[in-house]
Amino acid sequence: MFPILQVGPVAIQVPGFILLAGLWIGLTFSERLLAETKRPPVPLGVVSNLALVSLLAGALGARLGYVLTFPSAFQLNPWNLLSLNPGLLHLGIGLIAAIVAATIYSQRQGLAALLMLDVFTPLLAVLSTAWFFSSLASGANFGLLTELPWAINLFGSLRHPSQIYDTLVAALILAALWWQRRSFQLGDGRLFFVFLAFTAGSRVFLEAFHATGPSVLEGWRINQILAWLVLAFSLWILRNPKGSKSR
Amino acid sequence: MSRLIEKHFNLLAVGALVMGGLWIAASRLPPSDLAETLAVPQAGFLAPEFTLPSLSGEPIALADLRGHPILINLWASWCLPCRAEMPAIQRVYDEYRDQGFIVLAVNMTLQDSQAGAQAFVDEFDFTFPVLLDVDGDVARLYRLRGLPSSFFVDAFGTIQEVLIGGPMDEALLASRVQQLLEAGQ
Repeated sequence: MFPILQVGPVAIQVPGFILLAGLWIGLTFSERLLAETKRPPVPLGVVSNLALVSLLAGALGARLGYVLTFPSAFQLNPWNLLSLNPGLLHLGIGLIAAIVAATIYSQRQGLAALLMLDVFTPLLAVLSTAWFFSSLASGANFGLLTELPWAINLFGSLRHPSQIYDTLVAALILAALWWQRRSFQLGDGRLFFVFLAFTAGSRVFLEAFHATGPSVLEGWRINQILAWLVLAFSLWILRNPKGSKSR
Repeated sequence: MSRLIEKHFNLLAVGALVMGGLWIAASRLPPSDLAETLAVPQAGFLAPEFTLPSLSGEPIALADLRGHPILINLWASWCLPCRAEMPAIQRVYDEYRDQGFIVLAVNMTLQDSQAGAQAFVDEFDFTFPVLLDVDGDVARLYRLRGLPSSFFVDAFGTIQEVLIGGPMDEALLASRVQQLLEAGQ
């Protein structure tokens, strides 16, 4: 656990730094995936443009969502509406805003949705790995108590190294898809839905080792149930592909 | 290999979903097993107990404040972000103190000085309790990694969030206090 890296007088928030690095590396991977195709179906600059539009809309939506959730919190100092503090963001609403903005931008630019999902799959896979690695840095999403030989001593007790499980599996999915990327036809959505299916499947399995996370009704974990539904949806889409099949 | 998967896709998909469902059922835990009973300075755990003297000399124990949402703020008078966020903490304290919100501003006196803490408090006329960690006990107990460090503790004594670094602004503080108040109901 290393949430803060002190460099001289500057305290760097390591989890945030990891996520930013993940964004940069992921964009590079996505651009490379597009560049590797013999005749790129869209200009290479589309990746960074779409990412920028999504990020800006996401940030704006996340702040707006937070203001709507806690309107009275901003009455003490309305200037806080413009605060750079990331703690004043509603991630769920920000994500929805980013998806809506990306959809509108894609439609206006005449970009096929399945193509964009495929192109951005490497970015999502890298961000997923970075997200779990950032949990290792912050200490969030820690594991259940265990006496297994590979348990780690965290917060004064032996626990499943759940953040390490999560990071390794996300990195494996990234590596496998990147290695097999040429066996997918860019634009039919299969790359994205295979990524989604593997990620959802891994969450169904790995969430069981988490001590954190919301649970409902006698310990049924809501994260596992949601992941199972996403897995079922992904498999249903892969069973009924709209585009061409993989080569 | 891929032909084999395509040929038996339905079987594999149904198998994966059935296995997943069984795993979800097998790995469920009673919520009581997920509740942490350890005192660790980490979100989701009980806040470690301490008793410290205030600037006025009165001892204050965290255990006596159970039932109130609490902000434990570790600070020093030489720390610029600490100085920057204190007026915001005072404004939020003024706004929510009637609803039971308590601020414990723990001065890292081992790394600071009582005179420095007193001068800073006098300068801004803070009304919340300012405690003196003369021996560094709270710094050790809360595994101080940087200043300021803030721990948002709910009415049940559980740490809901840890924020290292600052300054925090009013909206952040007020929204977190509102969440603590809701959690305590």
